[in-house]
Amino acid sequence: MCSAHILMTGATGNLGNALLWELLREPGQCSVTVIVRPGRADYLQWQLAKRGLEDPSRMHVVEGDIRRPFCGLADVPLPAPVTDAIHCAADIRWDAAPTELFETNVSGTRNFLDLTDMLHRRNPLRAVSIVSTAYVCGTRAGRIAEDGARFGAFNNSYEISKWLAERIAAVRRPYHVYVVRPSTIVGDERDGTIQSFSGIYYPIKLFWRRRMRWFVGKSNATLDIVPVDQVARTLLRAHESLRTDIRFIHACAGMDAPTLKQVMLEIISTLGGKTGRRSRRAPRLLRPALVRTVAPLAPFLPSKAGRALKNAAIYSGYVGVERTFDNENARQLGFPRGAAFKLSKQADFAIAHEFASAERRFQQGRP
Amino acid sequence: MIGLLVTGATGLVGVFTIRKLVRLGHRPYVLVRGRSPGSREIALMAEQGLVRSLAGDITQPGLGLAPEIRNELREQVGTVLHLAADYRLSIDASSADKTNLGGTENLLDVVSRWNLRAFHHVSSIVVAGDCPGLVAEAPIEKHGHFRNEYERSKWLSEQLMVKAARRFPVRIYRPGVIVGDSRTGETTKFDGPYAALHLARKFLPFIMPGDAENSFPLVSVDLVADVLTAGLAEPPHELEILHVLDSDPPTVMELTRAWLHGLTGHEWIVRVPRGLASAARHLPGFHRMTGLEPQALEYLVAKWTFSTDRFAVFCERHGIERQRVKANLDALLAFYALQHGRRLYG
Repeated sequence: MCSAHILMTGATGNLGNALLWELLREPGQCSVTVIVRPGRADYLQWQLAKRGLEDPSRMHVVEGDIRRPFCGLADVPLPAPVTDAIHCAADIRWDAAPTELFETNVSGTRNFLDLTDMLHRRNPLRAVSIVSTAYVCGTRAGRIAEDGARFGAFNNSYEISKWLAERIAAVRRPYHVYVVRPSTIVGDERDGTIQSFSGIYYPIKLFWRRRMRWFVGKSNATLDIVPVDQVARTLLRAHESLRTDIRFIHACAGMDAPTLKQVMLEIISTLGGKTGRRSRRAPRLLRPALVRTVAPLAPFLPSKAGRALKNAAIYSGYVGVERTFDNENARQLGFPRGAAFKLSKQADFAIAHEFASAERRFQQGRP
Repeated sequence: MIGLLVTGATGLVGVFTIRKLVRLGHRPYVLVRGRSPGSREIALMAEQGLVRSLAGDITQPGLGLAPEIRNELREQVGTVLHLAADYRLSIDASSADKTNLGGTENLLDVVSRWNLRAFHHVSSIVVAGDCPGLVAEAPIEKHGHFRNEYERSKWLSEQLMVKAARRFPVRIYRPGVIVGDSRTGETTKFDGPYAALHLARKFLPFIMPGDAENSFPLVSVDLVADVLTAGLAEPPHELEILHVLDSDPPTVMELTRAWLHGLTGHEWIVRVPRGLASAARHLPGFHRMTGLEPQALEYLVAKWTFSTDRFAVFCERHGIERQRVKANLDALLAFYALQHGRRLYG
């Protein structure tokens, strides 16, 4: 993206960090202004240094907070006129407090777009991306179209907050707005790099610690998994192409997504060799509806079992539905077709880092 | 726009209006007292110099402001937007007189020495009280019966504004029952129609008085904010009154059906005669159970009609869409569900 100046949020998160790395690793003309929360600049520098980017000159860090009006930047001068803006910051905890989810995901999106509106009046913007999630589809099964999300049944407060945030992004603006919806993000397909281990990493961790006799889900349910670098490159290509006929982008495996059973087998074949227990059987699956029904009992169970049941209930919404995310727009932007699904690089990375998030390693001074 | 002073900026309508004004590049003075749900956001805006925050109190003579600040305001401010009010339907006479009537008196007293271009006063449709028939967008002079002290105090403050209109131009806005933002459902108070959801959350059926085919005079907070913002840019001539209402609000039944289904997957609605529903407010624990002030029940059975001819012309002129509630009931419900940690059934 030559001569672009990109404003972005969420640079310390999974997708934001991958995006920043894609932008900065090659020599080029584009520059980036990154909005980080106060006191987080050191952490971002540490994250980039881990990937071999010591003190990148094309990156400027400004301290702000998406939970403040105009991200707290109403009167802060930026180093260059912004041409593109990407909003990655979000609270992705499925069980976070509702007010926090609204403040970060919904008000945060509004504050970011207020800021870009203000910047646009100073110097016209070309395009803005709002990162949402494919799971704004809630509990719907079947084919999920790549268009405005419909209201329906939702699994949790996180999904509701992202659905509301998309409604803010739907307001007509003087520049083009992309709504990018990744499914379940996993590490970089080349070296497995990721900042925190949520989503699919939970069963990988359970298996690695040899505790997985039971899991929740239906064996033929779809588990749409997408490497973070694929999402990052698709998003950047949208900004390069400036395709105004494309608005929603399902950065999802779509037709190539594996079933839960295939994912289980992949985890077992990847980790089986490492644990020395090649012939390990796949875990027995509990029906999601059953898990949700008994979930209210979790507080009365022994702490370990209670926690397992609570986690299973949280996961149950994502491992019981057969659905396919349409990803025609993403494919037109170069999202790969028919990519083989592999988890070995990601599992290696997670094991090497003992499933400890980058943030925790940074705080504890670990490598 | 010349200098603007806003009272009640930390209330629901206040925060939405200030957000809009600030986006347009205005830097209003805001009068802030104590703690409201919007205090934090206004304080965050003041930190960045987006608003000029003044610690004051409309119930105090001189608004509780130091004389030098009042002098600065006199020189700078040409427009006043008066939003501050205590909107509780269960308010007692002395508090209503102190805040709603006394507040307006104090404010008028302070601005009487200013060179005002316009005064914008936010009232309420309930000033019409219990009078039957079509309510016009005009001063209500004689009065039959008020349902509660809130109605009486708001009517009396309107009368003050009508008198003040001889000295400077005044526009009175009478919004209906305010619900959340039509985009995100955001609100700070779940009263009025939200009672249906409070009941559903507690697995109680919704008790519907009468046929419930009457439409509720609803208005979404973003429409009120849009109207106020447009109104501030267009000073009134002498005295103007607008009924700020959604052009096609859902009926009580439509709204309740849609919400109950979304939140619970069923539609438990028990229909009872009007008289019996009105009597329900005397039940012990009514407020706790429904989140609804007992006085509010009277509005559920009220059959009101409001003229909105002038308002329609106003919105037409400013390109403001007046129909926002019916098509966005989902967003209002989603916000409620999010705030109460509930899943949705679609």
